[in-house]
Amino acid sequence: MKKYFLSFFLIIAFAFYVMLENQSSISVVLNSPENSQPGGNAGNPAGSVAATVPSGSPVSGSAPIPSPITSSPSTPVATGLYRDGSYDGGSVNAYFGNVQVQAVVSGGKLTDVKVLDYPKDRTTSARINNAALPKLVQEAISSQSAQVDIVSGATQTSQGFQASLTSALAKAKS
Amino acid sequence: MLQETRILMGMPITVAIVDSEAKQSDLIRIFDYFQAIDGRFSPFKKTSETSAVDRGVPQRDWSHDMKEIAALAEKTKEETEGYFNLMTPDGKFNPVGVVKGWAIKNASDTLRKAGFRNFYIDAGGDIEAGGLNGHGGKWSIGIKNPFKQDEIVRTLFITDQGIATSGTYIRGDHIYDPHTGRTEHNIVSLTVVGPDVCEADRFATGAFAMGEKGIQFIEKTPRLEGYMIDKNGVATMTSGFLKFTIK
Repeated sequence: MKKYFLSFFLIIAFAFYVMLENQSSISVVLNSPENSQPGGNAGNPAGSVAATVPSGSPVSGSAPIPSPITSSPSTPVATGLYRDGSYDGGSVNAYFGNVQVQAVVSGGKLTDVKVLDYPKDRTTSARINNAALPKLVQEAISSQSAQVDIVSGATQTSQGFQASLTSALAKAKS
Repeated sequence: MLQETRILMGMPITVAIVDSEAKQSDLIRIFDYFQAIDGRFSPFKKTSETSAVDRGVPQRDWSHDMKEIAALAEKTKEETEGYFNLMTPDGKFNPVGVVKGWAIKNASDTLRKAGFRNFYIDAGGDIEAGGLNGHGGKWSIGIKNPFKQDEIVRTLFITDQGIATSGTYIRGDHIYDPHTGRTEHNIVSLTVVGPDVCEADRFATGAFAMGEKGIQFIEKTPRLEGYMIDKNGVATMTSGFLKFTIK
């Protein structure tokens, strides 16, 4: 029995070490036959696309989630084409709330990433502030149901985001 | 429409080309470009040129791209009354604030040179929209509700223009400013429409850092329109903004 405990402890210790080593970056490698082609960046395996996500680091006006989340580093999340469909990723604790995304696969490829949940602890309450900026038009925001081609918003960049997406893509694996 | 999304530079990047002659290799070329940009400019990779610059590599040894980015950053800093700053609070050199829009613009120009007219490139919510969509209409762009990520609060129609949004996350009652790490102002999101995504992005970033007066700055800057949302869910728009809401 002792042996099992010792083995278990060693595995945990190693996992922890790996997590520490990789805390500053998580790589998700999307690699499908269609995407494969020689060349690319030095340091990346040919035919793969690596996305390195900094830990809670802002990209241009971005919204970082300072997250202690770690997941298995450099894990190829898919080695073949994905199956078509929508796949919900796991809800990942991102320090001050949960992050959950949905991967949309069409034609065997990732075509969209939707954010299902993100840290928030308030609802929208509209209150017109008449004192501010009298010259410009103001309005209380209200949600629209319109279908649009593209959505513009602050960048979702976080390890929590990445971890949830990784789990969503794992489900989409054929 | 040929369309694909990949995760690069820590965000989903979507390239979509409407023109029928588009091939998979055209998309791959664009993704390869973003990957190369990430390798060169990422402040989180020890092998990147950004890390080399941070370690003190002299300016004469910088790549052409790095010099261009540094010049664009300096220009933006001057144009935004010093609000746009590539140095992080702890004194690190971080060109990411200007690289994203610049890279989307370059990638879009690559598509244009290849003869494509109708396409879009969306990198983490910053978008260059070329020509028309698959139905022959202007590209419809939703402004994300900063309080509910799956909802939009306004729809804009643009063609051969760029759009970018700067924003924060709400944590408790505090607004967390990614540039300074401090609680500074009440603005949650600022969307800017400009002649191209590079212009929209750098001014969105710079004006966002100004807080509530950021929208006034966009108002007085030619060729830019903006839509600012504060923490109470109140939006303030520039005087020419509503023209983009008409199909």
